[in-house]
Amino acid sequence: MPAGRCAITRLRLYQFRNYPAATVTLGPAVNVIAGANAQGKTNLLEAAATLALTRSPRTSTTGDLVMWGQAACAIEGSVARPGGDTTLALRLERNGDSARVSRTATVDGKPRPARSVLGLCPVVMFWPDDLQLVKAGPDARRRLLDILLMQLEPRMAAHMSRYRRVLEQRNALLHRLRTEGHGGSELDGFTRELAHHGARIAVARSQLVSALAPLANAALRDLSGGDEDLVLSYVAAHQCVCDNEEQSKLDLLAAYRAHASEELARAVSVIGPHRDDMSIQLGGRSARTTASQGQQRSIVLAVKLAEMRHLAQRTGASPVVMLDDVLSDLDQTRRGLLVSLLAGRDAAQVLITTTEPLHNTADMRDAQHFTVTRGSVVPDV
Amino acid sequence: MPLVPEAIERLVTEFGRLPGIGPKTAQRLAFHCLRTPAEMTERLGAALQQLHQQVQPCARCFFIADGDLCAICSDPRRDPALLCVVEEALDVVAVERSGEFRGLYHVLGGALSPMDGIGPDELRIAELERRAATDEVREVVIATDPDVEGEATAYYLGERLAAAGVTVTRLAHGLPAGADLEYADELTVARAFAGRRAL
Repeated sequence: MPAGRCAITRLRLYQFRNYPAATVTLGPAVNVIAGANAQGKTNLLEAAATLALTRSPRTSTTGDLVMWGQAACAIEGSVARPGGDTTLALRLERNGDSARVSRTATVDGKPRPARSVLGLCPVVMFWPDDLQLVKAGPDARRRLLDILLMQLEPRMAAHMSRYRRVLEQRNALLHRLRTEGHGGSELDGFTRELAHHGARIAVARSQLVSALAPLANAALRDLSGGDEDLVLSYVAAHQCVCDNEEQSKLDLLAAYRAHASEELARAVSVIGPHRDDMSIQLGGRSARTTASQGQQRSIVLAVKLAEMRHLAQRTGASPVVMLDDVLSDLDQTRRGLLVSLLAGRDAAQVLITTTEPLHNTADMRDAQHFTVTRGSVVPDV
Repeated sequence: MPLVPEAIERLVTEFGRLPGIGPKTAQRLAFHCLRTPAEMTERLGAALQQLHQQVQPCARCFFIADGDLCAICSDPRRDPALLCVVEEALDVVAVERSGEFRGLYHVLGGALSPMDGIGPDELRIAELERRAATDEVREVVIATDPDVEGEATAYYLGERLAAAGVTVTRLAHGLPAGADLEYADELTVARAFAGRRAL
């Protein structure tokens, strides 16, 4: 049980997506943000997540976050946490006419490297796409692990960006090797760099999954009361046990040697954390192929609760939980259970967006309600 | 007729090509030049013109020189048994500022970057190999940047120079002196740990 909670008490947006300027004072528990489609509900959650993660979880085109026709945008949030309150701010500025965007993060008014902001306001997000987590391709599951990981261990964010960079370089080299037939002697250097960062990512993800697995199984019991065991496990494309960075690096290097001709033929790197996955099994069988639609939803909720509880255990405070228009996709029972867990036992600040007003539902009686209309947020009275 | 005379427009365009200069700064610089006395802009122009006339890459190490050889290569007190390999001429200046290194340099002209089409043939690696193979050279210190491309280049050079029969070393990755451990980035701290030594 966490000692406290992390809560965004005030969120200010300036020229962020469709918000010219807005200030929202949020409640410490459940906040319901209602509004018709395309008014800016999701943008509000995205702003909060972008502030916490220093980049948007929804888009890789950072320029899209700046309001159309404007040069810069800013997000500022006052965060209440057991260790003391802090103010985070993120400013994104377009560089002239190029697509590049410069990013300035500050903590309590002092400029800080973006990575040192990670983990100051831990968040767990639940977007509509997440409902497909069990069925979707492995990249959705890898993304879930990576976002959680960089909040727990900010140094992993540096390994991830290095890894992406080497991967691009190495794939470019493999491509040249295939088309022009030379470049083989340079490959080793890039392979070693890939294995160096890749091993660290694989080991960290694998340890994370081991920590999440029992939490997810317990959460599934809370939600569905079934007796089938939920088992999460990390599946590395290079089939390593992934409990030791040095060994994992040697395993990766061996795997690259074994797959050399396949890589050359396909001109891509076929081994490494960018090909790994988290397997989800229910009652000893793959949930992807055998679990019903309803079971899959429960599993997704259980994984999200596990994410939240793991963050709470590790950081000592419940993270901010964001649910973007997902309640309407859940049946009454699951929805009630989820909200009562979040607001009750797990004591988290929850930001919920919805198209249907939830004033009169029993589970939302104590919530704070807001209405979003064309880029402005107004508390309901 | 355009609002701003063509001479200014041209200057704005040229300033705008410089690194770190956006269109607004380029405009500000151009108008600043317009306001300053003519002799100052003439001095600037002359300095720019002489740059390429008087400065050229050193014939031996490819650092900048105003003759055939650079100031370092023509200094008899430097130790020709030691070669420090860097990516850019500016890196030589950085190593020199430390006053730690008394050998000679070799400027590669970049790092391996397959995405940009830069392979060993685009860098001055064959020249390095020839220099390293001479009897004079005992040790090659590889001081490429500690980023992805620099690390891959360092490894490549290590393999390739092994045949030349010289000792190849890599500059240690450490913590910046005078900086708080707290603010050093995680990879620097991790690498500094991996490269720790006994006291």
